[in-house]
Amino acid sequence: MVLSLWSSGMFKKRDDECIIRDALRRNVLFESLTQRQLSIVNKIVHIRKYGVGEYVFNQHQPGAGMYIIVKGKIGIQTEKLVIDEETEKEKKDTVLLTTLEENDFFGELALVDDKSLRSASAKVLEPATLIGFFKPDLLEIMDTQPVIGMKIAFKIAQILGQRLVETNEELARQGFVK
Amino acid sequence: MTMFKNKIEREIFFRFSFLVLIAILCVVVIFTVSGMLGPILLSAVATYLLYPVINIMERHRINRAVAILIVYLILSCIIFFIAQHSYTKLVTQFSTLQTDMPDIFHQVIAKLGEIEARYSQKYVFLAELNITSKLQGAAIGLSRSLLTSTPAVISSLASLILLVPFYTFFLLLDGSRIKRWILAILPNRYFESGLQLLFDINRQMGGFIQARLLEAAIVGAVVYIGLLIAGVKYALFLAVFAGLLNLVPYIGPFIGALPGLAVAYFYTKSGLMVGVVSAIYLLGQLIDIIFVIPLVFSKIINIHPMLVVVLIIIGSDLMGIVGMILAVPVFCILKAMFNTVYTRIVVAR
Repeated sequence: MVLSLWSSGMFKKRDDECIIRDALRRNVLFESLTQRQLSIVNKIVHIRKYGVGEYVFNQHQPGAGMYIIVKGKIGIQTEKLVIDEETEKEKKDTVLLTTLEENDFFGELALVDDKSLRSASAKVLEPATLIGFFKPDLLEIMDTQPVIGMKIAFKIAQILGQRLVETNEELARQGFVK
Repeated sequence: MTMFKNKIEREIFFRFSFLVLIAILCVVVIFTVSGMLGPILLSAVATYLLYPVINIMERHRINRAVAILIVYLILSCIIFFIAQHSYTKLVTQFSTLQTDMPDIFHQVIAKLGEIEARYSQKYVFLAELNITSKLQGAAIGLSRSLLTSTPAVISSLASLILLVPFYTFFLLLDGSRIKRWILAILPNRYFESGLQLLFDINRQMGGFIQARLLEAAIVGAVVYIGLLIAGVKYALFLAVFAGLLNLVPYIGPFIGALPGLAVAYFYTKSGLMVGVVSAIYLLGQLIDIIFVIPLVFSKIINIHPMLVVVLIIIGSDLMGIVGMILAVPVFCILKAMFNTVYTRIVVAR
């Protein structure tokens, strides 16, 4: 079993570090960090592997942080109640909102919202390797490396602001806002 | 049909089983090998205390290992300075007290016997309780153990002095890495819950330990200054004892005050002096209750005082004094676990 664990990559620290560093460098959230700062972030993020059909997180569950896709495909989906035409009873239906691929990220709202519940589920469509960056990690980095923490927090604010503008434009397009 | 949906699920299952096995092995070793639990618990306390200091130093771009070494160096200097000034005094006070203890107890118990004899005719239930003889038995046991157990205490103290800094160094240096290693082995579906749970437990325990030790230090300092002004013998030893006993909730402060009251009575035979010493201990407790607990403690643990009493009774029944000290922090951990499970499983549904 130990040999299997060894070969499975449990102790392949260096490989994982290279993968994480490359993915972080490409991500908008960490793009303003220097090489030294990236290597500090590198030490606190988590690398996770998922099989097809697994859920990264479920809708309505408390969120702990965000994920960056290193490899694979993730489907972001929500459940909504619809009326079954045959039985005329309410049933839950899954709606695929979007499909995310390499270098995309999701779940970033949980980094700043204290009691946030996930607004959608993230389901693995193709075997995936993800980098997890969570609120406790952000708080730790703000505590030990405030400059890095500030840069990341500023980027999160920018991204959320951008999302808000996009949502307003979408609402305007659909006629909800004049 | 295989029990795993895919290769990753199988790999994670084996990793998780491996972690559980190692955890069980560690728990068995810690509890069966004598003298392991104490240093580990004390190292955890020291780690929680020093963690914020090391983080502040790291914020100023000092390498973590170097920061720990600097803190160790500063602490060694402080301990050396205190030892040079107070060690002889503390040891002398302790050894004199050790010799005087049987006499002190004898006189206090004789006085209590007189009081009991005076009132037992009036209040029959006092004679049935037979407080004096019970106290006499306890006092003989305590003075005997104080005389016989000192060498054993000194030898276990020496092993603590060697082991605690060693364990603490690695917990401070690699604590974050150990945490990430544990999380890496958790199955995907429990990963976020595990991460949040570890974070909550860490935050609660860190705050709890810092607040309790701050309380103990404040009570000890107030008692020391008061006893010094009142001119009570063994002031330093009695203050350290009161501070340490303050860590035992509710009954600790009372037990912590008993030696001080006994010493005050033995050396002065004055009721006024006993009153003054009682007032000093009371002042320490009032400062604790009025300032420290509302300003520091209640913000950290949100538990009703009634529940605290119940927890301490259960802790004392299960593990004696250690149980009384551990009852509240263990409850905090269980509460954090319950909160995580509740919000993730019940509320999410």
